Amino acid sequence: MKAFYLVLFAPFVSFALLALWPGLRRSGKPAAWTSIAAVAVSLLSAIALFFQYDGGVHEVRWVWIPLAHFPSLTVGFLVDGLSVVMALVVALVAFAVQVYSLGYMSEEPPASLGRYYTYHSLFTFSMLGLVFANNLLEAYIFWELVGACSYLLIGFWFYKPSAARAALKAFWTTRLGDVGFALGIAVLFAHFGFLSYDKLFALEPSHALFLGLLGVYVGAMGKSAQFPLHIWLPDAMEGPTPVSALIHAATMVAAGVFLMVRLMPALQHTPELLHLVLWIGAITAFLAATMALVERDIKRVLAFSTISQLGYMMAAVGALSAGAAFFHLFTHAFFKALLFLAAGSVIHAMHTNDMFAMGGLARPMRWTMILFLVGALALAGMPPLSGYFSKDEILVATAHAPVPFALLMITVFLTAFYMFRAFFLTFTGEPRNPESHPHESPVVMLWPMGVLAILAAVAGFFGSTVHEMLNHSLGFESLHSGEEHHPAWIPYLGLGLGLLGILVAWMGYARRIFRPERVYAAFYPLAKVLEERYFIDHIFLLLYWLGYNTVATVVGFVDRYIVDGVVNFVTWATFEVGKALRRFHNGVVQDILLGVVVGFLILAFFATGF
Amino acid sequence: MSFRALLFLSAWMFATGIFGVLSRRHVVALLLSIELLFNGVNLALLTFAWAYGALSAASLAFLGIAVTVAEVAVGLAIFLLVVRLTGKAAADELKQLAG
Amino acid sequence: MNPVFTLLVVLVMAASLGVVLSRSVFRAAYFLAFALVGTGFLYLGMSPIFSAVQILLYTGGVLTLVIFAVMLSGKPELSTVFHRPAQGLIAALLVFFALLSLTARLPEPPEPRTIPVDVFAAYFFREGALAFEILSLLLLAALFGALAVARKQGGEG
Repeated sequence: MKAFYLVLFAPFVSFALLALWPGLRRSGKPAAWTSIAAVAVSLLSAIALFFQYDGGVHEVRWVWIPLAHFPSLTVGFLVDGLSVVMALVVALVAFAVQVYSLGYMSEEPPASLGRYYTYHSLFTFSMLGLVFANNLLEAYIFWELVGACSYLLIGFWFYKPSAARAALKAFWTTRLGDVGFALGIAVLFAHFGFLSYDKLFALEPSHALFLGLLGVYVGAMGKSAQFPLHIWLPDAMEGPTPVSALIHAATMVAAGVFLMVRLMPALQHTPELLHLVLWIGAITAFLAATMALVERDIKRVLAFSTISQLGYMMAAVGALSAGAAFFHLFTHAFFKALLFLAAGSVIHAMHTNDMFAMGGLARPMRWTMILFLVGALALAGMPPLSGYFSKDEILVATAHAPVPFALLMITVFLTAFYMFRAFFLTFTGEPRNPESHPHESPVVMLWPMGVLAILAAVAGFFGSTVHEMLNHSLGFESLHSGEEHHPAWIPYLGLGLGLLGILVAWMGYARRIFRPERVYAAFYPLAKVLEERYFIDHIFLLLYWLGYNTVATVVGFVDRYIVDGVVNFVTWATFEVGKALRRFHNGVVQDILLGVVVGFLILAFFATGF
Repeated sequence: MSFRALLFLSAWMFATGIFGVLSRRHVVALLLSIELLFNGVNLALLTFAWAYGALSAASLAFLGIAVTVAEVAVGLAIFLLVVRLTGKAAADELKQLAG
Repeated sequence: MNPVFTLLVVLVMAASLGVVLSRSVFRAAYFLAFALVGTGFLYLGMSPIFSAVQILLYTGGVLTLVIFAVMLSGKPELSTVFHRPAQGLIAALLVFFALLSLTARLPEPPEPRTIPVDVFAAYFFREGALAFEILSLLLLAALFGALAVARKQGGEG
């Protein structure tokens, strides 16, 4: 089990090298190879760890802050089924993305490329740290590190105002959730006095546990882009596309789901919270899918789709089916990373994100087309690709709650439709922009996608492995699986709706049997609402103006006239007293000594009282 | 030999030393007055050591004497330098310390 | 009360006054020598070793230094002796009474005994060994400091 040290710290070593050795960082390609070598070591160790794994729960811990009235705060790492599988996913996607970036970022100047890989190394380390953390506080630290890396990478092209704004928006929105996380940790610590998972999982149901886990869930909402904190993810597409594939599809946004799965043994004691998670998850899945219907930007379609799929995972968590949630996280990581990389390949060739400016790319970009198709079919839930199995499990798990189940079912149709709308718009028909000369991407970009495509295709068959690994995780032996009843028609209905979605997209965008523009015009107000993303951004803005600005005005007044007043008075008084006192200081040594004598007399007076 | 009388003498020496330190103008006279202060303190310390058997007080007195010797050596050296640089030997004419 | 002791105390008191009141610094130094030697005699009854230290090192060493310094500076006296004497007098009187009232509270000692040298030495070199070493450093520093400060500028001293 010692391999996990290598898994975790190899990226850190590369980050430290790149961060502390400017010469290496600014050299570009060598920096990239350093980072890739580190993540390759990490990946190989993760594979070794996976095969060595003996089904037990291994933990190392050290005392971090010794406390007198509480159990001491510890740090440590937890190697169990969940963290082993998750580490494998993270290392694998990170490796694929870093290799792919060699091609995608080839036009960057060397110093900029080095910076890119520095951030990537730090991100990989932080994400793996989050995976291996054995207590909530440590998880929170890595959680924030991951958020900081996300900020840095979204704003990688910081000279673009939109990228800088998107980075800030992502950071602030997830911060909003993190405040909840921090409060949750504070509640748990204040009430129970410990934060390590094994102790939390042994707790009886209580009010404090509910409040604490609610806080943690709010944090997960921010990171995993749950309604209404999902607004940052579409804008985060301003970052380089490989970043979106790694952070905003496969790993960081899944961290919220991961954390919820990790906390499942504690969450099972809070059915009300799980109910909330289920509803918000279903609503998120549905709303995000509807917003994707009218999006023109290929990456944003994928972003909305990610939000939607995260909604699925959260719904599964809410349905007390950690296995389904984690299995979908597992498959989704591969096919969504693949889709992003394929979209990146298209963008790399076309230098635009607008799907309506593409078209007809199937011929010049045959491989990309095939890879994108594999990802899209997996996402739409077509057997035997991976998405079919994991989505099916979620649908089965949520079948007992009619409304969320219905929302998720409709979303299956919507998902298939918008994915194939994107596919047909991009790859079929005539080129809509005759000035562009698309070309296939270099091999260094294709083969990472190939690896991911194979995994996206076959990952579904590892369902039983993933479930078994999960059952070896900390505290999971106390979980009872929620699969008492599952009507046999659910998989067929899901498959049918998926096929219907593909068919409608084919009719509208490939064969043009009906005109999507007409439908758009007919439902213009509704479409407008979707395009404006349900005005949620505007609502946040309004809240900002009303709430934040009012508070800020009051606070500003207090600060300017009361706090500053006190400060200014103190400086003024000090100055005046000093001016008065310096007259006594005439430089004559006898007079200075007189002060000493007076001091002695005062002390003697207090000592004797005369 | 009387305990009270010795303490009285110690207080007397200390008080005259205070007067000298505060009122004499000549720098060397200041140093001499400081010697008086030290001597008063040493006398008190040794009296305590003798009367109460406090060996720590005797140790302090011993160390005090040595420190005094060092202080005088450095103080007189400074005095010589000041006289050489300024030509003044009166403490209240040296006002470079004024704030 | 022992008349010799009383006489000694009165003489030392008078000599102390002489130190602060005499116009010439030379004379003040002689009075100081007198006061120090007198104190040294008083130590005879308490701890003879201190008596020797007081007279040999302190009185001899300090006074020799003072007299050399005054002779080198060439300024044995000033036209005005005192600087605001009334102020100093009041302060000194207050200090005097404060010290008297402080010492008046001390309990009566059990049985005053002369301190044997070996007992003191055993104590001092066990408990005060560190202080002793630091002190030797201080003396060394003072030696160099005095040389460095007093020597003529330009490197000829």
